[in-house]
This record gives sequence, structure tokens and C-alpha cells, in this order.
Amino acid sequence: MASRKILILYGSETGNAQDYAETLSLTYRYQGYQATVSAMDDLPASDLLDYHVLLVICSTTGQGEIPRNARHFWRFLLRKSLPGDLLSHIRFSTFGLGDSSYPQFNWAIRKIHARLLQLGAKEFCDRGESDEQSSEGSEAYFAAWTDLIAKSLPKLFPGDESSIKENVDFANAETLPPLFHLIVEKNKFKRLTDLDVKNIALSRVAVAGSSRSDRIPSQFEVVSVDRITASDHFQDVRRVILRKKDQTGGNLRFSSGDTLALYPTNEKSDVDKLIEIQGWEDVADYPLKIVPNHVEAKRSLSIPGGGFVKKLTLRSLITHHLDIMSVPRRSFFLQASQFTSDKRERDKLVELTRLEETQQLYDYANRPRRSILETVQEFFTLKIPLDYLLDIFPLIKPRLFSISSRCRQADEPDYNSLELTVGIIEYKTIIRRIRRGLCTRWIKTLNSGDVILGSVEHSRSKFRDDDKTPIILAYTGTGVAPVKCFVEDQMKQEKSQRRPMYIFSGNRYPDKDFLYGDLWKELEKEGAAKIFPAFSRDPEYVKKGCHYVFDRLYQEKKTVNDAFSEETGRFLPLRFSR
Amino acid sequence: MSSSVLLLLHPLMASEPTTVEETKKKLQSLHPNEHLMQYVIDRVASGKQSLPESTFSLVYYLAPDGARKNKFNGPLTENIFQSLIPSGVFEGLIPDDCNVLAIKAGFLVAQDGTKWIKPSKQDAVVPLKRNTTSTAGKKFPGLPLFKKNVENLTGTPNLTDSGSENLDDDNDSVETEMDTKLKQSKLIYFENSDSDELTDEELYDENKLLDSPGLSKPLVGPLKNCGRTGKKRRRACKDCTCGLKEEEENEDKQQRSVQDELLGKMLQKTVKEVGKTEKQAKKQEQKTGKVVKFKPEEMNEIDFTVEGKKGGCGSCSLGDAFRCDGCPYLGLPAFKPGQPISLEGMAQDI
Repeated sequence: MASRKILILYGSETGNAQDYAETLSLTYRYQGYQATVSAMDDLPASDLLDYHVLLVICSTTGQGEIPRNARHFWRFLLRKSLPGDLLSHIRFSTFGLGDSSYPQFNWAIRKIHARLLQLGAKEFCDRGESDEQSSEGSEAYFAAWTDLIAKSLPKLFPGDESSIKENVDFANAETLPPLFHLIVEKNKFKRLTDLDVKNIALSRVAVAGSSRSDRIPSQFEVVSVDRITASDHFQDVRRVILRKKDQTGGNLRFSSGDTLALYPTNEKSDVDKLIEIQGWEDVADYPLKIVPNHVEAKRSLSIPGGGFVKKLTLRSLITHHLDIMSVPRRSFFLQASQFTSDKRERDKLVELTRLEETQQLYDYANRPRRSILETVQEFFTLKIPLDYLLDIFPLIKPRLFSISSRCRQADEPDYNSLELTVGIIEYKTIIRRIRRGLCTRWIKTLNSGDVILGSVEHSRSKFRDDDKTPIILAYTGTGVAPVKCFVEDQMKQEKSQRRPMYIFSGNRYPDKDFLYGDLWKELEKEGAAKIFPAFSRDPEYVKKGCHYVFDRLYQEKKTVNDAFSEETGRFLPLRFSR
Repeated sequence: MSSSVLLLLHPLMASEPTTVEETKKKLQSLHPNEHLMQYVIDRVASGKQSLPESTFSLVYYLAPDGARKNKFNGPLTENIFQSLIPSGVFEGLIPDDCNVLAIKAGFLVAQDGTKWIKPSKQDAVVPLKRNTTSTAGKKFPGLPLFKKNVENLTGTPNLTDSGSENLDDDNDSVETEMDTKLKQSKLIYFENSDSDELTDEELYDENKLLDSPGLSKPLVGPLKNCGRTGKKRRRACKDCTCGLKEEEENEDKQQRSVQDELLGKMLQKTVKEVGKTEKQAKKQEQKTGKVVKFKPEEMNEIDFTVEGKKGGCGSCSLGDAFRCDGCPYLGLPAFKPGQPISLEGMAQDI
């Protein structure tokens, strides 16, 4: 019978929409459909002509915007030149992930839905919009939507009902074929002994079959990594200075609000642990070839940072590309359930994927921030076949850090360098081992002289150079980064050209974590800016009622009001961004 | 057969002879081997001047910018279409809001809207009948619906379509193979789909989409009783302000102190067992002058099989996924009874 092709597209910022899409795709594959799942930007747009059934799952980011991994595709769909029947062959439905405490609740999916209709695609069942604020949680909406789809799907493929298994018992289902083959070239090559992780990390190259890489990273030399909070303060914040080394993409150009994407690697001990418990020691260090399994639905792999590292082995694949320290998601458990030999473990893994067991999944994985590695360690009989590595493990995503220095001019000594202000992430949950952020843990291992990859991401909102109105800059903690960048830019200008600046800063102690406090004091002395700090743990400030930034803003309401009414000032609340 | 170039002049251009001359020069230099003709557009529009069929490779309309607002009529557009050879182009001043007219006449409208192109023969475009005012969504068998420029249609096409209404139509099953021809005709819109070079003017204003009537239909409501016990879910939001986050943190702290107690007991026993080793170490210390001391934090290997191994449920040794609520082992790694377990990294503190 004819193909039962379903295309599932997602736009995902934090990975929730992606996980829904992946889980759904897996479920449909079990049911006998040919499901293809892809981030919108990873799919060549013309592939839309090859599908007649489309599901779109998308969250909303920023001010009602489409997530980063869907923007190219979205800009294509928005072309005015597209005719109104371009997608007339498509039946579709959409599901949005949103939070009604934001005014632009589910805007992204609404826009996508409306545009698909405009382009001639037809809805085949009601659409869904989840609300994180609701008491039922987003899963309850997703469950309702997928139930509805399950009823409608078979009708889209008439004469084919018999081959569709509507209720799949995952605990007893047959294993699905992998999407890739991973071939260890043990007989052809010698065991690789070059294990210089930092060097290998620089060798990312695009491989055939990998899709659009919107950023090609360039090399940066680490100038310094210094702690800037007091040594007895609980939080370790580092000032990282990097200098661009190569000419990829020309000289460094950035402005306030722009970020640098970094490409962290896993800790050696964690990689070793996974290799050991999975029994991969014998194959870990031979060249590894990855070929798509074309028998199955095609899937393009988008490798962040341009592609895999050049000397690809199982060990380097895990070290540089597989996010084994991330919190396992529903799709991970569903995949993993295929590879346990113990019934009790299999049942548990399947149970954790059920939408009605969301609370249990949360308590087990998200709340204690359990890692995939720790999960694999706990399920003794879980043995993952090599071919499934890319099905089961998510890829390491680049981490974005706001740049905290101004862009230097060609005639300045530190031209082509930039500064990041990075809060090291370390905390405790009920899991005994301390939780550490993958990237900040990696940053702590960097030494002066090391070379790493990075790429500047330009923010969509920009300040106009000719805007001379007063500006109120409010931030907490490492949210100082874009503020410092902005302020430094202003200071570079003629005194008469500068904008009046009011800086509201939220910290804990004046002597421990008042980041760049000396710089602020200097500016205040010069009369270049007014500084209003709040210190939530300082007895004197607390007595005065200025715990937090908003206390301070309220206390200074006259200043704030005047800035607004007299000269139509700007207010710039900056959220802490990692 | 050689083709010609036609310069269509707006009547007001008579007052600007230099511009006309310059344009003519430009056209001639671009099409050196072609004969250049010129007419005043009003005469063509009124039918006083007829245009020869399939003659021109280019029809260029020269007019003051203000004439942009003067729309063409249907017959004029069709006459221009007829006068062009296949692949011929209409260029110059393109009047506002006439793209639909052009499409009806059979033209392809260039993506940037700066020219109308007569399709070459193999494109096999059949002009749509002029009286078809709303073509959106209708099917013309074997006929690709070319260039319905969404922006220029008066109503937004297809927004009123309701898929669920059609669910019982035979129409509902998807065509398994799209007409190859139709697919070919659509493929051209995907050219350069990777390029992001388009300006905002060439893109549809996405915020306008939020008011689309297609969004006003009812949404799927949440499934009731989705939680494990049907209770309200417990999960602190990212920016929790209701106190749940603190509550969770307190629970975590409590569990950690239960763990501390448990680990403490185990360590005591283990330290006793390795007491001997410690003595040996001290001997060595005296020899080398280095201080070697076992701190409890350095004990990375702990025998888990000591106290508390026999939880009544038998699940204590398994991972957290299998442990009961309130199990003292929650948060500790799974272990195989009788085997030492690595607590590597556990004693590290922030």
C-alpha cells in the first residue's frame, strides 16, 4: 500500500517542544507510520512537497517570536511571493507550548498555523495550545491533542487501517530500526591514541548529510579566566577574556545584547564511565563512520558548530557531541525501554514516558536534575546498541553568554577580544553528587593560551546610536553583562553625546558579589552615571528597605518618573541570561 | 524570427523628451539587434492602436512615478501579454495593485514585483478566466494555479477552510502521489529557500497573522485527571514565587540529612575496617615524611552492604526510579548488594 508518511516539525528553544515531537514520532513509527521528525530549520523547505500530513509543534520565545531553530524556515514561509495554494496538498494540525503569564502567549504557533492556512494547507483536526500556568500542566493538553490526532490519522490513509496498530504495548513492542548506522572501523585502521580533547574540539567539519549550519564558529584564544566574586562567596563568577584568533567571518563585531556561543565538551571521567558501564572499551578508539539508515524515514542531522569533530571515534563522539549530562527526557526513556533485558526495568522506563505519569517523571529526572549518565547507571540491564547512539542521546547544544565588554576598534590594543561574565553553575539536589552545568564546568577547566571555538550571535533588538534619551538599566547578578557592554560603549563617546544612565543593580553583598562595582563607583564619581545598588544580604541595606532591585526602583520612583516623563526615557530590564 | 522591443509612453512623458531619449538609448544598448517601437499607452488602452501578436521580447513602460496609481485594465494587460513572445517581459513602471490582473492575463509576476514574465511554452500556463474572482482553494484539474500572490488578493485565501468539516468527505484522504506536474510547478517557489537575503518588505508581516480568522476556532482542551493521582500537579515554575520552590528545597535538605546519617554510619564501619590500612599508612608516613591520612571524605569506596540493606521492600538497592517515597537511600546511587559502590565525587562540597 502507499506510503504512510507523516512529517513532524518542531521549533524548540529549551527542548520541550522537541521532546514532544520526538516522542510522537517514535510512537507513530511503532504504530506503523513512516514518521519523519525534524527541527524546522533542519528540513530543506522543498521537502514539504513530499508529505501530505504535517504536524507542527512549537514554543514561543522572546517577544512572541519563533524559536531559534525554526527561523530560517519561518522566513521562507513568510515570503510574499509564495502562492496561496503552495501547500494545498497538505493536511495539518499544530500544537503550541506556551505560558499564559506572558502577554505573547503562544504567538509563534498561532502565526505558523495562520500562515499554513494562508498557503493552502488544510486542518484535519482541532489545534492545541498548552498553558504551563494551568493546573493540569502542558502534558494534559498534549495528551488531549494527540488523542484527537490518533482518531483522525487513520482516516487520512484509507484502505490502510489494517497495518496501523493503534494501541502499541511499548513494553513488548519490537525494536525499531535505527536512523543511522555507526560503523567502528576496527579492521581497517589502528586504534587512535590522540586523545587531546582540546585539540580535537577545534576540528569540527561539516559532513555530508548534515544540514544547514547557520554559524560556522571561529577560533578564540583564552586570554584569562578569573574569579570575580570573593573567594568565600558561595557563587563562583568568572570573567573570561577571549581573543579571536582566525579570520573566519572577519573581525569581531558586536554590540550590547549580543552573545557568544560556546561549544563545551563532556568531562573525561563521565565519558569513561559511560564507556565502561556500556562495555565499549574495545571499540571506543577506532575511527567511526556514521551513515544514515535510508530504509527508515530520512532524518537530517544538524550538528551544532558546523559538524562532527574530524577524528571521529566513539569516544570523541561522546566527548564532543552527545549530551550525556543533560536531564533525560520522555523520548530518552521511550528509546531506552527498547534496550533493557529486565522486564521490571523495561516496565519502569515505559511507565516514565506516560503522559499521566508526568509527576513521576518530574520527580525522578527534572527535579533532582538527574543526568542521562546517572540514569543509564541505575538501569543495570540497559545496554545501548551502537547504532542507536544518535537516536537515544541528544546532541550537545552550544551555550550562549552575553558579551560584557564593548567592541574594540581596530586601533585599540585589545582589538578582536571580548569579555564574558559567567556564573559557574553548581548546586545540590537530593542526588548526592553535586550538580554542575556542563558548560560552566568546562569553562572552569580552561587555561590561558587554550584555543576554543565560539561564534557571535547578534541580538535582534538594537539601540539606535542617535537616541540620546535617558536610559534606566536594571539587572541582577550576571545580568550585568549587556549593561556593562552598553555603558562602556556610551563612555567611549563624547561627553555631550552620552545618554543619561541610571543603573539599578541587584546583588547579595557589597564586598562579595557586586560585579564590576569598582567600575560603577568610578563612573558615578565622574558623573557619567547614577548607580542604585541593592544588596539583599547586607544588614545596612536591608534596614533601609533595599533588598532587591525592585525595592530600589520603587524608592527612586521620582528619578525613574522624571527620566520617563521629561525626556521619554527607556527602561531596560535585563533578565539574567546564562 | 527576430523580435522587437516596445516602449510604451505615458502621455505626460511628452514633456520630458530627454528622459524618453535616454530610455530609448538604454533599451537599444541592451537589445542592440532588435527593432525599437514606441506607442503612447492611452492609444493602446483605448484600442485606437492595436499591438501585433507575439512580437516583442520586451515591453517597457515609461511613466512618471505618479502614474503608478493608475491601474491597468484587463484588455490592456491581455493585449500586452499577447504582444509578447514566450519568455517575453513587461518591465518599467509596474502600476500598483495590478499583479492579480497580470496573473489572470497569464503572466508570472517576478518575486520582487519589478516585472511580469510571459511563461515559456513548456511552462504550459493557461490564463485564468477573468470572471473567476476567487480562485482560492478551487481545483482546476491539471492546471497549476500559478502566482496567486497572497498579498495582493483582496481576501486572504483559504482562511475559512475548515478541515474538520470535511472529515467525512472522500476528499479527506491525502493524495498519495502529488501530480508530478503540480509538484514541478510548485518547486520553483522553493528555489533559494535557504537564502535569507530577503528584505522585510519581501516578507509577510507576521504579526498580521495573529488576527487571522483561522485562529478563532475552538482549541483542544486539556485532558482531565492526567496527573498520577488526579491531584493538582506539583511542580515549581522557573520563576516560582508561591513558595513551592522553597518547600521543595526544604524537602531536598531533609533527604540530604537522612543520607548524611546513613552514610555516616556506613563510614564509621568502613573506617574501622580500614583501620589496619591506616596504621600501615602511618608507618609509611614516618618513612617518607609526607602526611598520609584518610579523611572520611576521601573514602570513595563504601561497602553498602552494611546497615539498612534489608529494606522491607527489597528495592533499596535499586535506583531511585524503583525506591519508595521516603526511602533513606533516595538520591544515592543504585548498588548491587554485596558489592562496594563508588561514591566518587559525592563528598565534594560547593
